[in-house]
Amino acid sequence: MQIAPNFDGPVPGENFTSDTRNYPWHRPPDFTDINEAIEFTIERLTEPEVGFTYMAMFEAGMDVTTATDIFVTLGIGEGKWTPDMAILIAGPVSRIFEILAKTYGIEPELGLDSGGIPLTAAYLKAVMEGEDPMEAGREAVEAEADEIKGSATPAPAGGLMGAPMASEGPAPDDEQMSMLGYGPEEEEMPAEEPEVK
Amino acid sequence: MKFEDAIRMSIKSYRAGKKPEETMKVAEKFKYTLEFFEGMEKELTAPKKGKKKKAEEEVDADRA
Repeated sequence: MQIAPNFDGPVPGENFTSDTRNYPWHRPPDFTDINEAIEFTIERLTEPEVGFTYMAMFEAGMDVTTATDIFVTLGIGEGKWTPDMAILIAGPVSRIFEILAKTYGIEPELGLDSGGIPLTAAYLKAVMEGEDPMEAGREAVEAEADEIKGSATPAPAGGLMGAPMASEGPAPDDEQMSMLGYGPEEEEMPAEEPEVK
Repeated sequence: MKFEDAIRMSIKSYRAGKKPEETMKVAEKFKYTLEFFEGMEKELTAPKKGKKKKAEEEVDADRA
């Protein structure tokens, strides 16, 4: 079968001719002033779509520190600020989140010592169904662990040289013969004919 | 140290009232201090009765 040549591939050295501003974080950041960055944060978080999203997350049990981490990391990805600036504005951003949540009647945990709760599917589902999310998360982990244990093949007892397990039974006759050095019956090779001179 | 840990430390320092000294040297004036947000919180979470009264007073003044 003949393979058609692929003409869509890059020309050698094409990377040197491409625009280096491929990603927002490769460009100079939009905000280099700390006050401007915080003003942008306030504007962004008071947008209904963005604000409601974070408030829903707080209601689901997310803490302020995790929300701050998500927000500033998104800002780095969008080229709004550098990672250094993200660390500098983290404090004020956390305070903005806290105030916004209070205005919506939510009191989220700060989460500075807990290390944050991972928002898993089981966790969110439990919150939606009004169950205890921590208990639901624990049950989901236990169920998954049981599933993994059930699908795993048991390790041979005593290693490779260990005695065979009772369930295996004796080896078949062929295998036993091969272990004793008797291979399958070999076909007789035809006798060589003498060379004619 | 992970980025998350740095964020956590930054939040802790800010809430403890510590300011980034080197940044403060460069920044003309750091506007968004803890005090600023305290004022903002009071303003936003305060009951809106006062505002209603003011609005009612304005309406009354217009009528008069």
